[in-house]
Amino acid sequence: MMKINEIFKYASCKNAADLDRQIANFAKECAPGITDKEVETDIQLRNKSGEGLMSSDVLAIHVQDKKVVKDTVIYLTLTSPFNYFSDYFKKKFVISKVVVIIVNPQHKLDSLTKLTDFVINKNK
Amino acid sequence: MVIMRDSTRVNDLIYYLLNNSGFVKAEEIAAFLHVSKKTVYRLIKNINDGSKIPLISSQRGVGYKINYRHYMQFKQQNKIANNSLGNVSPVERRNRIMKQLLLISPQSIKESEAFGKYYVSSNVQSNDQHAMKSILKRYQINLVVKDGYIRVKGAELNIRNAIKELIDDREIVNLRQFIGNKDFDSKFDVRFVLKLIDKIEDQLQTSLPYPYNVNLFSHIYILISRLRKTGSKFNLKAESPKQDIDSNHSLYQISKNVVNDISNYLNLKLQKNEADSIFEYLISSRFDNDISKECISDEVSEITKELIDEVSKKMGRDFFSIQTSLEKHIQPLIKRLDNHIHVNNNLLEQIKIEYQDLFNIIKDVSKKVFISNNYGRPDDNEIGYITLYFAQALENQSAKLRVILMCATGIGTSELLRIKVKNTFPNFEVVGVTSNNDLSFQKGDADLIISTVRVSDKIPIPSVVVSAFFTRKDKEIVQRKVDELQGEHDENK
Repeated sequence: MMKINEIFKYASCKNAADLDRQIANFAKECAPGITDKEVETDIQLRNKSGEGLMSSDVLAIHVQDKKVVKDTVIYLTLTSPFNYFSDYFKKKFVISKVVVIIVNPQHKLDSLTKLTDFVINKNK
Repeated sequence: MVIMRDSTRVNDLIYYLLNNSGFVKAEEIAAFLHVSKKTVYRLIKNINDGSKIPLISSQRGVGYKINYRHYMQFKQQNKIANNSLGNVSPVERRNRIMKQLLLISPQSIKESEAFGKYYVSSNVQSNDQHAMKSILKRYQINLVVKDGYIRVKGAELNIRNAIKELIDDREIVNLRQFIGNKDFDSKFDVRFVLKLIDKIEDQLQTSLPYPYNVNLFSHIYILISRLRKTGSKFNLKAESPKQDIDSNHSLYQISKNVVNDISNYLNLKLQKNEADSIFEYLISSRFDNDISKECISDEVSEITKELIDEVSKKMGRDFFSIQTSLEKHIQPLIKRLDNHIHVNNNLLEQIKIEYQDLFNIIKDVSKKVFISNNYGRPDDNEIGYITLYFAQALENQSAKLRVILMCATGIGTSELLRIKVKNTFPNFEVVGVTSNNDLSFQKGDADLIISTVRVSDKIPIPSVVVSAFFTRKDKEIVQRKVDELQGEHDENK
């Protein structure tokens, strides 16, 4: 099992589209050659298969792609929260933190060491 | 031998003395038997002469007293049956008299008619009246004794409730047990009510389970007994449950049919609101199928949730899984509390012994929750039933279940789930955390997969999809699946 690269970042996003753009930029650092369209498809594919909410204000966004060479999890704290509508809960949530998981489908990673703290600890 | 000749006077004299603990003067016995003092002396002499050991002892100037030990020996030697009314216990005697008076209320009967067959002295009679007064007061019923006549007076609903408490249906768990029960002595009425309950069940297309069937049976039997004794003169004065009728029209129609059938059976016109009281019994019952599933009110859900949360807190375990099943119990329970309908619980003593702590916690919590929601306090029988739901959950929790947690990557939401699942289902053993790309699992590797993403059909293990949030809704999804799996497991046993 390999240890995963876990990074904390702050981001300022005007809306969900702006967040997607920033995530695409992060993904390009871990997956050389990946396009914006491919990142968008990866995110949508995961979203279609299940709800990504981790708590009432934390959303998980997955980029799972064969082009990923450096498996990375980014704990993103947003300077301005945005609204997110959940199809699963049929209601709107205000998201202030995002967990961006950029991994290769064949990854052999161990569990995340900082996830629980990030989701549960409101001050981080 | 005089006693073996079974003279009525001799028997009456013996029973009279048996029911008086002290010495009784010859004058009093003579007055009771409507004979002269001389006859009393002769009867006593004959009784004592007729047995090897004297049954009645006397004391000059004080009177006569039965020697109980000698009497019991004599009874045993001569195999005298213990079935006379003179031999009933004081409690049983008072209950029988109260039941008789309640059934004919507001009519009165002579005191001598009420007490005569029990062979009691005027002192015992006076004590009985005092005891009955205080018992009936609990039901807001008055015992009136005037000019040698005795009767009870009170609202019809109170009278029926008191009769219900006096008749002994506590041991009855199957309706057939009503046949031959001494408190339900009219075998025609018993058979008629049994047929009525069958008809109600046919119309409902389900069966009315214990204790609701026993309760409804007793209610209808008491109604018929009252109608037989007094006609339909009494006034029920019950408020019509209009709101409930509007939302349960089919149950109300069944109640009206029951009243029609009783009316035809007795050839007597019944008051319209008798259908209301039958209806109240029906809406206070839980049926074998879930016909009430769709209409659990928000209030019931909230009360159930409060109850579960409080008990969970005090027990240090999460009982959220019983929310749905307990709601279906609480819905008719609050109707019973509203309509002052009591149910028996023949398991109560056993529940109190086996689940003592749980029972006491639930009793404590229920008092708080129901009263704060403007309902009466459920009695021990009701607490016993609620306890069974929690006890069942405790037993289910003790069965280990092997689970795999799954998410898109096997490192994200499934990790969060691991903690939440463990907290909610302490009996789950997490045998793996994986991604939905992993198709290597085989049947038998785990009992259940809990996943935050769709699970491939290629994995031959039962699964549920939840959110990593793991809300009450998610927990219910898991619990339903667990119940389903355990049901299958039990069937395959």
